[in-house]
Amino acid sequence: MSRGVILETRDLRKYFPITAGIFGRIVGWVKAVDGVSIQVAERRTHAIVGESGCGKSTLARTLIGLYEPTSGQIFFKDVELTSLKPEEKKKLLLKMSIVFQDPTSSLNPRRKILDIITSPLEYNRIGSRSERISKAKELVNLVELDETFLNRYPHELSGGQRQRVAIARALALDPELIILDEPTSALDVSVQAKILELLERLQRKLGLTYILITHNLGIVRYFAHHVSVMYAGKIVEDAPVESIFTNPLHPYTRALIAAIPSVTPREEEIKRKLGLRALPGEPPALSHPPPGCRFHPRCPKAMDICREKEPPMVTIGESRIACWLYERKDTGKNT
Amino acid sequence: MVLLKVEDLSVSFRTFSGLARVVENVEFELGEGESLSIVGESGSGKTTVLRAILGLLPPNAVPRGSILFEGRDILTMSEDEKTRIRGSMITYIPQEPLVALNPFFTIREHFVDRLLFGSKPKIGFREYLEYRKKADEVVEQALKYMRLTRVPDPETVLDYYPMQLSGGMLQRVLIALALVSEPKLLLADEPTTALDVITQLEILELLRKLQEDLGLSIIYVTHDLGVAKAVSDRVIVMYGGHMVEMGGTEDVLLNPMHPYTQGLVEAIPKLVGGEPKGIEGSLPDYLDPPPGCRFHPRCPKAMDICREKRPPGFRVNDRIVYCWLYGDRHE
Repeated sequence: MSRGVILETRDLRKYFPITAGIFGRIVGWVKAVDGVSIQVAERRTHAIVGESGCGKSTLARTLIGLYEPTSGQIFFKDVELTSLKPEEKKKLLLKMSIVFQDPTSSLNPRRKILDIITSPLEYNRIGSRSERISKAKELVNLVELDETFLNRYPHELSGGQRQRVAIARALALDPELIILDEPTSALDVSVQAKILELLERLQRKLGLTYILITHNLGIVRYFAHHVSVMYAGKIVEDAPVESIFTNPLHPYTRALIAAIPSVTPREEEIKRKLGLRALPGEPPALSHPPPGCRFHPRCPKAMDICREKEPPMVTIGESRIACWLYERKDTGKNT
Repeated sequence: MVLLKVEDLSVSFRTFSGLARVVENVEFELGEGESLSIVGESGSGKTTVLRAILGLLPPNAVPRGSILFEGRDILTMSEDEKTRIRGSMITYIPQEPLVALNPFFTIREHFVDRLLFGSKPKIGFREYLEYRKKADEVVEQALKYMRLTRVPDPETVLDYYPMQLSGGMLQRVLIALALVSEPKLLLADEPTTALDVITQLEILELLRKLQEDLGLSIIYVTHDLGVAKAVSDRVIVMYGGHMVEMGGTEDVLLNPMHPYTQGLVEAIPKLVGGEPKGIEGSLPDYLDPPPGCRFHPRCPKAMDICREKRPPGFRVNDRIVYCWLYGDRHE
C-alpha cells in the first residue's frame, strides 16, 4: 500500500439477496456495491458522490463494518479487515466512526446530551463515570458548544446544535477516520457553512480523515480533496477535486455538474466553457443493471462496445475513469 | 393583470406558551403568467404564507390582512367557497411525492378523484354513483396532461400504484394532477427537494416551460436560491416571518442588498470554489421576537435604529429592501 493511505478497498462488493416465497429462496441480488476500489489518503477528505440509490451509503456502511462485505478486501492502516478475528476487528473498527444525515433521528430523544455523547464510551466500557463526564466536557468544547448543553435534551437544540452533538459523539472514541453521511443536507445553508467550518477546524486540529458521502457538489468543491463519482454501484471517475471541476472526463460526471442549479454568473460561465449539458433519464435498478457500461442507456456518447463490455479503469494523469471513450485513446497511443 | 394581491398579511399562532407572531406585514402582487419565488430558511414563515393563500391554515392560526384572489379575499371566504377555488383555480404541488399520494389507489383513481370530486364541497351517494359513470371520459383529460408533463407511456402508468413509480416520475404525475383542472395559480412547496440533482433540473425546466406555454402564475417556496433562479422571474426573501427583500431574481442574486440576503448568497457552496460563510446565531423566537428589525441580532451592519424601529420597505430602483441601510436615500 502506498504511503499516506489510511484506508483502501480492493474490488469490494456488497450484494443484498432478493428472496421470494415462504422459504426465502434467493431469486436475485441487488448489487449495491459492485467492485469498488478506492484509496483514502490520511488527513484528507475523500468525497463519494452520486445520486440516491447509487450505493454510496452502502459503501460507507460496509467500510465501517456495519455490513459484512460479500467479497473483496478492506485495508485499514495496512491491516486487512476481513481476515481478522472478530474481537481484533472490533478494536480496529473503533478507530472509525460515523456522523449520520439527520441529527433529529440519530439522537435518542429521551437521553440527555451528556448520555448521548458518552454512550460510545459506556458501550465499550471505557473510563469511570467521572472520567466520562470530563471527556464529555472536552468534547462539547471541541464542537464549540457550551457545557450547559450537557444537561439538555435533543429537542431543546436547533438543527445545527444537534449536528454538533452528533459530531461530538463521533469523536468520543478518538477516531482517526470519520464517515460523514450527508452531514449537512438536513440543515439550512447558513448553518451548513458553520458546520463545514467546524469540521474543517477539527480535521486540522485532530488530524482526522473524512469520507464524505454527499450529492451536493458545491460542498464537495469547497470541502473535499479527492472525489469518487459513483453510478449504479460502481466508481465511474476518481480524481482530485480540482480536476473533477475543471476537467470532468466521464459523461456522467459532466452531467452531474451541469445539473447543479447555479447562483452566480461565474458558475454558468464555467458550465458553458466545459460544454456541460444535463442528461435525461434515471439510474438503473441495481437488481437488473444494463449489460456493458451501466451508464450507456443515458450516455450521449455511447458506442457499440459500451453496450457489450464493461469498461475497465483507465488512468489519465491523476484521474481514473471507467469509460470506453478514454480506453480507446489509451490503446491508440500504445500501438 | 393582477391575479393575486397579498396586503399586509400577518399570521399569528395561539400556542400554550402564548401568541407566536410568525408572519408579519407580508405584501406582494402576482400578475397573470408571472412566477415568483419565496426564499428563506426553515422556520422563516414561507410555508405559512403559502398555506394562507391556500386557505389551509391550522385552527390555531390568527390571520390578519387580506389575500385578494381575482379581487375576492380568501381570508374572509366561507369553507365551501374556499373548497371551490382550491383544487380548481388554485392548485398545489407538495414537497414529498410519495407522501402526497394515497398508496392504496392507482394513478387513474387519483385523476378521477381530482377531476370529478375535487373542488366540490358536498357530494351525496346518489351523486357519487352518477359521477362515477363519467370516470372513463375524464381519463382522456388525465392522459393529455400526463403527456404534457412528459410521463413516459402514460396509458400504462395510469394503472400503477404510487410505489411503482420513481421519485422523478411521481413528481411529474403530481404536476399533471395539479394542472389537470386548468388552474390559474399554481403553488409549489419545495417541489424538487426530495429529488436528485439531475431529476431536479428536468422538473424545473419542465415547470418553466409549462408556465410559459400555459400562461400559468406560479409561486414557488424554496430554500434553494439556485432553484429560485432557475424558475422564477421575481423573488421574495423572507427572514423570521418578515420580508427582507423583493426584486428580480437575477438581480437579487447578483447584487443582494439586504445584509441577510448577502449572508445567504455567501453561505452557498459554489462550483467555483471559495469558502462559504455561515451567518452567526439562529432564527428569532416567535413568542418573543426582537424589537425593530428581526434580523438585527445577527446582522453585521446593525445600527441603533435597527434595534428600535422596524424598517419599512425602501424602494431602490426596481427593488424593495426592508433595511434601514437604504433609508436615507429615501427620506
